Amino acid sequence: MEEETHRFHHPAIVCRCMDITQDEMVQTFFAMVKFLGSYDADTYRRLSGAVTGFCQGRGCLQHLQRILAGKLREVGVQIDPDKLLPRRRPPLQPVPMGLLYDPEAVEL
Amino acid sequence: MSQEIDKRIYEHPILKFERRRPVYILFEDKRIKAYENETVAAALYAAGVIQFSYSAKYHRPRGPFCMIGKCSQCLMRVNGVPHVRTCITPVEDGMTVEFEHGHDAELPTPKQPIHVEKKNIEYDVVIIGSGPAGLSAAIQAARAGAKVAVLDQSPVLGGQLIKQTHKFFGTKESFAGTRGVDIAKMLVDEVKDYDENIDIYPSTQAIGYFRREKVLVAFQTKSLGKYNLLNLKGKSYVIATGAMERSLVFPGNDLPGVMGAGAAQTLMNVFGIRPAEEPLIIGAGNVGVIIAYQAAQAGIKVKAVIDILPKTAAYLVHAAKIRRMGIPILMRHTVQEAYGNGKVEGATVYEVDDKFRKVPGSEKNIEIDGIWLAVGLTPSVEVLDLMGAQIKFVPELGGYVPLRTPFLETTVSNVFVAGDASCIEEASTAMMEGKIAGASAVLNIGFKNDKVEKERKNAVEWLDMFRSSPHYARIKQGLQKVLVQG
Repeated sequence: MEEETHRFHHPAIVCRCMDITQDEMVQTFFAMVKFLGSYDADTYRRLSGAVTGFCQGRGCLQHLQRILAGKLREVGVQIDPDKLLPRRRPPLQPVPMGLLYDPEAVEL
Repeated sequence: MSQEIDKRIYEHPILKFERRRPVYILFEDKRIKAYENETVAAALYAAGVIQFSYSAKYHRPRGPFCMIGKCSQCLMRVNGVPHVRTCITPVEDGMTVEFEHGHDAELPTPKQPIHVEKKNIEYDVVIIGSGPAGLSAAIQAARAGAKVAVLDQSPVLGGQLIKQTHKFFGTKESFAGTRGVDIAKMLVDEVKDYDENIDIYPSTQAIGYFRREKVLVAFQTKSLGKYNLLNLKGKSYVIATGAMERSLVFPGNDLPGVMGAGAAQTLMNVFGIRPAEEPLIIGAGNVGVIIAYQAAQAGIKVKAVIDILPKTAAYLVHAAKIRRMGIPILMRHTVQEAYGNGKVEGATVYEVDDKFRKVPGSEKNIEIDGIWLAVGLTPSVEVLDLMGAQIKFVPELGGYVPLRTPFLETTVSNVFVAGDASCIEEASTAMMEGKIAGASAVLNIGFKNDKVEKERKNAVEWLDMFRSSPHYARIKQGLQKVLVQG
């Protein structure tokens, strides 16, 4: 097939909201382990940006966990899957900014 | 002038699509015809628009993935308001809809002022989710005389039942032989019988739970720019948030046209719109083959259904049905990449051996205009996580699920879970779980009602019976891992 050679290859996207590719996730993993020496899901979330977007991990959390656990397994570290849940915080949905603004609540 | 594209289905063997008054919306200066009961995303799809935005970092074209308000890929600028979830926003005449160009370099500056009405309301039971589980729970709670709130982010009640046109299996109690769409109608009608007790909040998204104040914060979109901010306090909660379709990572997996199979089902069966003409379905489980069949009913020619496993996990009845229709099911096949310029134009698939390794030289290019992923669901436990419920990874149940007692109470007292959020199963089991959770939610806070208590006992017995079939052995095994004694 001739056209095959000219084909443009798309990246494999892990996190659609923050636009993070599989390769970037893997690079972030190595950077995290090398420079921070830690490998918990929360650090991985903060460094990679996955699970921090609009959907709050509804689409990418499974992949973050899969990559983290998989890469750790490669270097002989077993991690308890229950520990792969990053901490969740509100808001769980995109919220219009003006919605949370309360003009009467200025006093501290 | 070019021919106007209309992907709407006008003839369907079992569904009749009621389209209300036609209206017009403006998409990037193009006038698009829509109907009042359609969402913005559906109207765009009907007009052949499958790209909704450019991605945040790489400015790649993107289109919606889940169509049920979970994934954020349908966010657009509507009437000047940025980041609007178009898949759950109903169309209004004269609406302007624009591409969203990333979302990182722009302050949200809506052209119209925001009106917010703040409400603090107390209920006996607050239920999140109006699917089979949530509505069943609401009915039980209201029957006992409790004051109930039901929140759903969708403008319509019924959850995902409203797109299930296949007849259910099972027994009389599980509505065997009835289509999901009809079960949804029955549940909604029953809820209406209790309208003195049940307050329905459609188009309402729960955004947080604050443990110290014990307040659930949610906001209801009345129309764009007009919101109700709800601080809800429930004596008990039933969390029936359902599940989210899983995605698959492969090159090109974000091209417009790649979507969850359930999203395609929503477009086909709820709105009567063909999401693609010649799609490829990945995953030959029950969802994959049922949707292939429903696609054929909608006049869509499914190119193939592929699955990496050697044997289909679907009921043989369903698989045989689509084989008879001439839709190829390729087992031991998986996708290598999707290609196309700005949208899916094809996919390369290959065969795998017993150890899931690629068989060299087995690559095949298939020309398609859509990829529908039916690769499983993940329970949506975000709210439960915020509430502090203990969550455990149980692959048999679909992923991270909360621990629960036999009456479905989580480790947080008076917080119950029901439906797919507790374990990926079926609508029939979700209804039974809803009954148990709804009944427990009121019985736990002091309501007494023999009928409700009896109904709960029946539901528990029915579930035990249902899950004792060998087909559900795996789920039963999974449930053992999350069961705690109350």
